[in-house]
Amino acid sequence: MQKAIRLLFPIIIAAGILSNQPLHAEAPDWVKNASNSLTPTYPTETKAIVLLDQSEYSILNPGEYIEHHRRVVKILRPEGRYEGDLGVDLEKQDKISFLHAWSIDHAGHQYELKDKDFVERSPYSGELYEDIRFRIAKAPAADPGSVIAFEYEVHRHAWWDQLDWIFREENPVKEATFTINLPAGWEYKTAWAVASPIEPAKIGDNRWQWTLHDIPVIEDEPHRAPVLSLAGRMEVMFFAPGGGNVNFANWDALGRWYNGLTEGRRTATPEIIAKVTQLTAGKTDFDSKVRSLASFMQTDIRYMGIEIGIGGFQPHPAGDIFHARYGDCKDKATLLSTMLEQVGIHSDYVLINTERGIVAPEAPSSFFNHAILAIEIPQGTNLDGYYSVIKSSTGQQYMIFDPTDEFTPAGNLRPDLQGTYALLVTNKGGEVIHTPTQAPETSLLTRTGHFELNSDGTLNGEVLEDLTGKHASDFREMMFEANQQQRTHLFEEQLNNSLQGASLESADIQQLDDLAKDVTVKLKFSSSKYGQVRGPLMLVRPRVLGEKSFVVERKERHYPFVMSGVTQEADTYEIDIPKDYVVDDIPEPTSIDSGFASYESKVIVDGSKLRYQRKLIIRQLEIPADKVPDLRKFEGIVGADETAAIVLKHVQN
Amino acid sequence: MRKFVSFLTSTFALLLLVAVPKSFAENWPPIAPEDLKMTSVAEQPGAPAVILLRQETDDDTKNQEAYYERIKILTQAGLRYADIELPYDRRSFTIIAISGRTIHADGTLIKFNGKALDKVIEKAHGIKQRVKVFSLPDVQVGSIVDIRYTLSYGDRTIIAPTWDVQSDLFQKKVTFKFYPYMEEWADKQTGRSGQGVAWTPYLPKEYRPQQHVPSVVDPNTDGKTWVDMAIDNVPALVDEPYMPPEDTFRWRVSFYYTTTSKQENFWKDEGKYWNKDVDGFLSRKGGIDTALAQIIAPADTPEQKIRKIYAFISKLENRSFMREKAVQELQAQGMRFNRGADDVLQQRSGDHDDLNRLFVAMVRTAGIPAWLMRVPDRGKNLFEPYFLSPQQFDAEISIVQLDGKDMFFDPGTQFCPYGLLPWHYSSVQGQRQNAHQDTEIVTSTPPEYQQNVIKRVAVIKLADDGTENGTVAVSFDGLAGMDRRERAAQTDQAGRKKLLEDEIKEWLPGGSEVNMTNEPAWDDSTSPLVAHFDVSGPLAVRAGKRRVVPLHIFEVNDQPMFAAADRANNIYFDNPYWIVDEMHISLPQGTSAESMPTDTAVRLDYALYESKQKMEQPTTIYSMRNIVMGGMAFPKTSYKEIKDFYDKVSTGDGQQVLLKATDHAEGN
Repeated sequence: MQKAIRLLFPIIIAAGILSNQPLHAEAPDWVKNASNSLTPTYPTETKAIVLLDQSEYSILNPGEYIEHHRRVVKILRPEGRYEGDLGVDLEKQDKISFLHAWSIDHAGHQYELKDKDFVERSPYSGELYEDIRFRIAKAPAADPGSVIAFEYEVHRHAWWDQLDWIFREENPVKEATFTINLPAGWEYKTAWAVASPIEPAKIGDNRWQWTLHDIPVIEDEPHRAPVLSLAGRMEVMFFAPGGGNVNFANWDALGRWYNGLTEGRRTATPEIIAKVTQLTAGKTDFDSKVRSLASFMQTDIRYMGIEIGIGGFQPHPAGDIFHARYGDCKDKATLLSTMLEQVGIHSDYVLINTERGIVAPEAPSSFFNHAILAIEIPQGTNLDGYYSVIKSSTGQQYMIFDPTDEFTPAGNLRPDLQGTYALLVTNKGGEVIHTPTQAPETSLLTRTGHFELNSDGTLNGEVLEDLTGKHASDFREMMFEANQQQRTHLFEEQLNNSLQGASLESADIQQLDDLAKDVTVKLKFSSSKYGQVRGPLMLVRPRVLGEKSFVVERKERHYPFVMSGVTQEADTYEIDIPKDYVVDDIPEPTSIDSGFASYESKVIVDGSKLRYQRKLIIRQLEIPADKVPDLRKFEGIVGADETAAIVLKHVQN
Repeated sequence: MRKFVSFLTSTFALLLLVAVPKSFAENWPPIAPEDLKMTSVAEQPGAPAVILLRQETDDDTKNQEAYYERIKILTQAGLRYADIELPYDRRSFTIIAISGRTIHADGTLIKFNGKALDKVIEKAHGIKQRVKVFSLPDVQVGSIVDIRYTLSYGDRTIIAPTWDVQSDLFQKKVTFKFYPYMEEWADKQTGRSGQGVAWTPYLPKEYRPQQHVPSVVDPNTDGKTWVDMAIDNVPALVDEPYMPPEDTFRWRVSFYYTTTSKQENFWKDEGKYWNKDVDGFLSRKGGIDTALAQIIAPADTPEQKIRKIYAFISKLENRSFMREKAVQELQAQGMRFNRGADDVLQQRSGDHDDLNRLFVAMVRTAGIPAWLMRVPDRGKNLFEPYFLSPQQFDAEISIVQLDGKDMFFDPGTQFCPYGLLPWHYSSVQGQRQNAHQDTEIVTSTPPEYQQNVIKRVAVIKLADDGTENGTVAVSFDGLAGMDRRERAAQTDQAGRKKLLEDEIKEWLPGGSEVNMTNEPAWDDSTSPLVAHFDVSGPLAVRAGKRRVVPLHIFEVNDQPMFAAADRANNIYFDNPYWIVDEMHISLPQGTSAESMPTDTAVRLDYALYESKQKMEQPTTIYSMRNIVMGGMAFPKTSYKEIKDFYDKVSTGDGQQVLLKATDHAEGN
């Protein structure tokens, strides 16, 4: 699905395009004024300062407006050179009125880029084809100390009359303004996300301006939520006299618009009906019908996106998708919905963003980039095994399902789509829903190992892995493209990351393609010198496989730490120690519960057997910033346990 | 009749070739029943797809390239092979025929009736780089897809193709045919002319293209000469760690139009052409005498002179390691393109090759014989004398004769120490100037492990709770220093500090804090880059009442070099190296080492590993680690030996010391 957002940040293009004829020219006064303005002192790691970011929109007609944008940035560090990568995005009917850029280097030399210096490029995206274009250029003298200014005006055509102002960035902004000019009789309304509303100044007839000064940076932190979820934004909806134009004054309006767009797209053809009949033959209950049709959609209809014009939002007719056997996310949702309808199961579209937190319930907007389905669950259905269930405001229970996700079975959602806001689109309108965060026990990773340790330190044995939920999905995705040799290499790498010089004897994967079942993996291997012999002693790490700890930086944290998903993981490793050794020392048991996660481990000595058991539970998708020190402590304890050792002592037989 | 032509490089590796009449487009090769039933391919088990047939026909007499491919989809992951992207340069090429179809396992045919869409990769100043995209319909696991298309190019153009034989999929059969332009040609731009075609095969010996001349008895030859080749069962490329650059072993055939018929004549002629260009540049020597007078003294030995000139060149602005500047930006700074050594000297600025040329010009002026050599970048490919194309070369380096011996230099690579070559220009064949105003093919000096050295010393104190704090000193010598200096030059002081601190953090146990305490000599390539750090963090772990301390603290996060039991490709390290570590770990009061690992030593002809440890004082552990990899390229038959070496290194690096409480020990 086409991203229903426009880029207000400068577009960062990886490939450098050197404009070959920038003219040496005088920068206009607004550039000079901005570059001469006094700036506060910023921390040394600040890469650049946005001195001015001005957006002005003149609404002409429903779905038609002029955008005028000016931006002045001072580069402070080499890492801020990307601010010299300039760009503007254009949809097919958009026309550029003018496009300029200026640079003033630290020595005062001034340069200008004109329209012809900007090259055209299609976006780098996962879609096979999109009709969006970028006009991009690299500003001359994009070095520390230089000021880069960029100005363009575009006559745009939009599918709706709503604009967004994103004012907080990864660099500090000294001044940002947002101006609207409305035709007579038009009105506007605003909604704000991740920021307190401010009032505009009326600076002319039907002309309003919002201004912000000294906007702080969005700190760069590892495992941080996406910038757009932290940036702060204002949504402005426009109302034509007498109404009738499209805007998202509320979520219901957006739902109605999208529902209208999909009208007539879910009509079953005889071929679809025949296929549904074939796939559901002998299946009488809700669960088996849904799983059968969902599985068909995941495996037989390949993902392929060609998005032209409104096709970025509007799905193809179900019959076309079925005939071609490919489609993008909204196409796959459409075809599955159509097929489900044939067996009496109603479903509705859900618009969602694959980055959690970008959709803010308080600010209705089109910030969606993915379409999935909400499948109505008949009353009285046993909900065991359904972890993605929501209840709408009408009391209807739905199973949220992503037909594009080839690795996650019906009833589950991958972590990206959990715990986030989305829009349920029904034939009555739209409603914001919050997708469930699944319980840790829906994503199990269980390892059971039996090993034999020899007197020379060699370890032989096998591990059986059982994976459900996100672990099974991740594993299936990792194996998806790999041929047999590549799979063997992946296992060998995994083993050697835990065991020096490990040698894989066999690997057996079961139920890889059956999404309804757990994935099981049995690995047989050996590792010479696993036990470190020290005279009469031998050191043995009881945690044979699997690293679960990670490093959490000590720096002060501003934003929540985003985890890779909730999980419950358990290892049980039994090691038969050599007959000529006895256990001399074992680590103390470990137990910590930080609320958001818990971990416990212990070593039990049972005659000549050592049994190591541990259990890790991660309960939250995000750890709040003030709890990150606790997370650091937690991970430190897990890391120490993972490297702890048992001491064996040699005895005479 | 002479034909005035321009050369184009065909970049459409997997998609080329002949005029296909509309009717022919529907004339697909027959499908074998066993191909319809196929579910896997024994030569690449678990592969997502297999190429059943691939045909490429390049016809330079008709200015067309035609490509055909038949793919069997074996798994769900293989469905992506039904999405087609064809890059082409719209200024030079037109795609004149695209056709495709899907054949299900039961033989059902679905013709592609859709439209191929144009995607603009880049459009500027009249140049459009585009991709034609389309997707075949109703493709299922078990389907066969047929794809065919033709590219057409301008009449006054000749293209010597490269046949890319191998791909990431196993191929049951590939066929190639090339109809070269056999008349005399002349290139207006370069002034070169010639006649005939030749090729360099990068193939196993049993496969060779065959040239066919027109036959009067066979009307099918159409009076044309052609070259063809067919190979069955082409193995897939395998991606592995530490493998040579793909272009050094990937099966392919590179064609070229010949200017002369013999290899030695070609390089001789090319050498003259290059020599003329170099001499023209070096002959512009204005200001060099004056500059030299300030740099060197008459009493200097030749080596002192070379060192001083090298140091002078190293301080000039190096445009190859800077942000690319726009023309007017250079003009605003009073800069111009360097047309000769005098320009480089006057502007005190040049790119990689400019600086090497100025170096040679100054050394020559100082009375010392010096020449240039053009070399490939062995990170990408190697020079193949039988492939008669100067486009194989990537850069120019310098050769200076000192005491009758040739020494190789590269002052054009930023921070390259005196007397060393960056790894990618070392040990490569290339073309050099010589003392006889001629050129010859020679090999640059091989890299040695002593030229790429890291020395690390840690002095740390272990606390009761298992954490440590102390200092680490690191010296990056030779190419190791050059590498860090190059990266540091891309950022500022804060960035440089972070760069090294992050590198040290990657070595130490997770959660370690690292603070650089000195300002290393970032710009002085004559000495090692030495940095000092304060470090702290977790180190010892529990073993019941005892504690365990890793001996080699810089190696605790090392991942295995070679995990796989088998190997498909040769082994290739960019550069030999030498790393020496020394650790001094003071133990907490009341603890002592209960057991020390025994020393380890592993020696091969080309590699060495040592791990030595002892108590240097009653409460201080001393350990030393020494690893040398002196080789660079090894046949895959050496894999077992090399893997075994690194497995032993991993075992040695993973050794731990067991600490006991003194009371506990005494109690036992």
